[in-house]
Amino acid sequence: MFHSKRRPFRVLVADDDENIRDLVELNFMMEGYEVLTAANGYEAEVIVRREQPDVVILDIMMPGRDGLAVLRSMRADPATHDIPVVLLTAKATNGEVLDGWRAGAAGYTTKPFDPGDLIRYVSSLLNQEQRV
Amino acid sequence: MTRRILGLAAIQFAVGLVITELLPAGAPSEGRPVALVGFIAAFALAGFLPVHLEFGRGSYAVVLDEAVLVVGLFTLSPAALVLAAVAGDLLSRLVARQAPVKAVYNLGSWFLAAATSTAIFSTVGHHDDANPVAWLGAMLAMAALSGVSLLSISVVLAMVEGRPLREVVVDSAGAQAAVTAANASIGLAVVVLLHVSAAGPFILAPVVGMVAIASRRYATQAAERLRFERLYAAAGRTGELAGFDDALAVLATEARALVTGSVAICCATRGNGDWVGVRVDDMATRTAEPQAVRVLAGLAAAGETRTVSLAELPRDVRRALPDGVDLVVAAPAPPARADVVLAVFREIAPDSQGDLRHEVLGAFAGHAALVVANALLYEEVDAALRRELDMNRQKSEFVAAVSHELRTPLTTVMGTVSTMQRLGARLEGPTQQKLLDRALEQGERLRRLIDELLLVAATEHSGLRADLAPADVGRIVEDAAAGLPGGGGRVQLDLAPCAALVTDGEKVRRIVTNLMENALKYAPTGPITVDLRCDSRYLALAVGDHGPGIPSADRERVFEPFVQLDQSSTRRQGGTGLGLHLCRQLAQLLDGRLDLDETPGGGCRFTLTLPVTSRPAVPLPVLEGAA
Repeated sequence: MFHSKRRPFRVLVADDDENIRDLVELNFMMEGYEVLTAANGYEAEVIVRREQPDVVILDIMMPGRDGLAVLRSMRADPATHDIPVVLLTAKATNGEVLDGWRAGAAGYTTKPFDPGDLIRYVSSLLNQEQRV
Repeated sequence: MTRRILGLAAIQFAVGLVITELLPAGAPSEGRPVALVGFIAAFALAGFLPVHLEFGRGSYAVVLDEAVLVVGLFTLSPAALVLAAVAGDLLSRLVARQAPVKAVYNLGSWFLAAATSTAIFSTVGHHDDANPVAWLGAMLAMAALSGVSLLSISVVLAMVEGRPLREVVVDSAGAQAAVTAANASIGLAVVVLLHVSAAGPFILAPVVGMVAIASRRYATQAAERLRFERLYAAAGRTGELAGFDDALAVLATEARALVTGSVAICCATRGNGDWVGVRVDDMATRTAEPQAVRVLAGLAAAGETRTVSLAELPRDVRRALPDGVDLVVAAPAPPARADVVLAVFREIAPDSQGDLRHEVLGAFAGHAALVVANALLYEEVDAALRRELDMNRQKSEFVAAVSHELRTPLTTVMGTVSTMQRLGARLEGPTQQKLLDRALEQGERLRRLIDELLLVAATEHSGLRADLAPADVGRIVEDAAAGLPGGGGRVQLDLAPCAALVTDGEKVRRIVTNLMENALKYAPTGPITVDLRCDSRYLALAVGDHGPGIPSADRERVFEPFVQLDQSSTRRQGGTGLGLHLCRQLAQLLDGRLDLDETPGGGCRFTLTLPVTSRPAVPLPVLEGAA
């Protein structure tokens, strides 16, 4: 498919709900991605810095450090500044969408979502990045 | 302060005595005791009947003693004149019952001024009442008197009011000069008329009499007007919307200024009978000592203003109060809108002018009651608004949380279905099975959430009624335990025999089941104990476990909707986050309560308390930590 000879894309899925995490992981794995997972914001930050994934799927409402905080700290760090982030959220108010864009999200999906749509969006995002 | 004023007075007496010693003995009319007594009487009368005049923006009491002095210069020997002046002045102050410190100081001031002016007149050397040089000498003497008086009064004013001496002198110089000039003219007119005939001065009597009467009336009116102005100004400054404590502070400040006291305390109740007070003095505004407030509330009488000498109070009562000579205490006349007591403490006893200020404080007390009533109303409205805002905020937070809680399991259900659709054939059998199991589990969770949300909504909007019927709580607990997954093997029942209770058995069962399920979920090992106890009024059902327990700071939070103390474990345990919230609401619906007890030994212990009759005649005991 889109990754012919290079190493597989690495995606980090950060969500505090185990079921959703597993579901997203399964879908990306079946498409040939290498999947990392994080159950909360702190974990996500550590993994992003250590593993430098190609893309991050980030839930906003997580206990402790929430997704927006993780996104902002990623944008502030030159090492993680350019990694695209797709936000996942269960409450979709206009204010939150705006906060997400302002913080520098590449995309935004409201729960419940179709994993197929998410994968199509992420792959187009990564292909675009590659072309650039 | 008093000591310093008396010290200054002593200096004045000393200097005055030295000047008197130096006065020449010779005089125009030596050895006429009748004249001496006459002048003493004249000085006393002049001092006792001041003529009130308005000058510029101030009002002044013009005392004609200076005019008497002018006449005396031409009539008495210098030493006799000074003696007559001091004796007459002392007499008038005694009759007027002037405050001692003030009287002593003014007497000293007058003594020094009289001695100085007499000495100057003697130095000029002409005593002939028809000689213009002698008139000039008298004028000079009066100018000196004016200067000495001005300085003496200014020094003490500057000290008491804490203003620079220069400023005080400039402020009062004009009035002092005018008063002395008028006095000198009157005095000289009398001297000249006396020269013409002994009865000559009597032609002045009608004029002086008329001026005296008119000025007296005017002075009364002016004082009245001043009091009203001060009262209006004070009322105006207390018109701001303020809370209870701020209102008391403002009222005390104004009361202190109205009565010119050193300390003021404004006491009031919040309508519950508990008196509190705010104390204001030169330095600070602070909460008054409870003993002082108690004493003042006891001293005040509704609708009365009274002056209480502090020396007359019992020693222990006095110790509770601030220092001072006396205190003015006022309370509004019934029916007042609030219980208020205003008390002002004075360090210097007032003269007759000061006594009129009591009336002002009495009038102000009525206004103070209104201000306090407004403050209480303001606090009530403010609190209601805050409650309303808080409730609104809680509601929108609840809606946001509901959205999140409903969407999360729905995401798994829908995500699973679309994943199966897309990848179904490529997934292995066990993976497919696991996905489907989870979707089903989350679907079930969604169903329970919806059930509980509907129940919460129903109880909140009073749509849910208790179906009251006699119920055997012991039996309900046994059935609920038996219905638990695994037959409730870990549950240990200790049920005291209790008479049937008129309540809603179904709701009790729901609460008990929920509590036991929670215990089984969060305490994975150890026994779950269920105790039932009852007396004639209450039935108490306690469900305890030996799990990790709940930090005491979170003991109330567990009853809030969607509070998950350890989110990851709650999700894993399949809790909806509504169970305990709903249980408490159901308990309240049954006129009971549900509390999380303090358990120092660890674990959790929830207690459901129900009244034996469904509508208790007595309120439920307030358990610690319960909302």
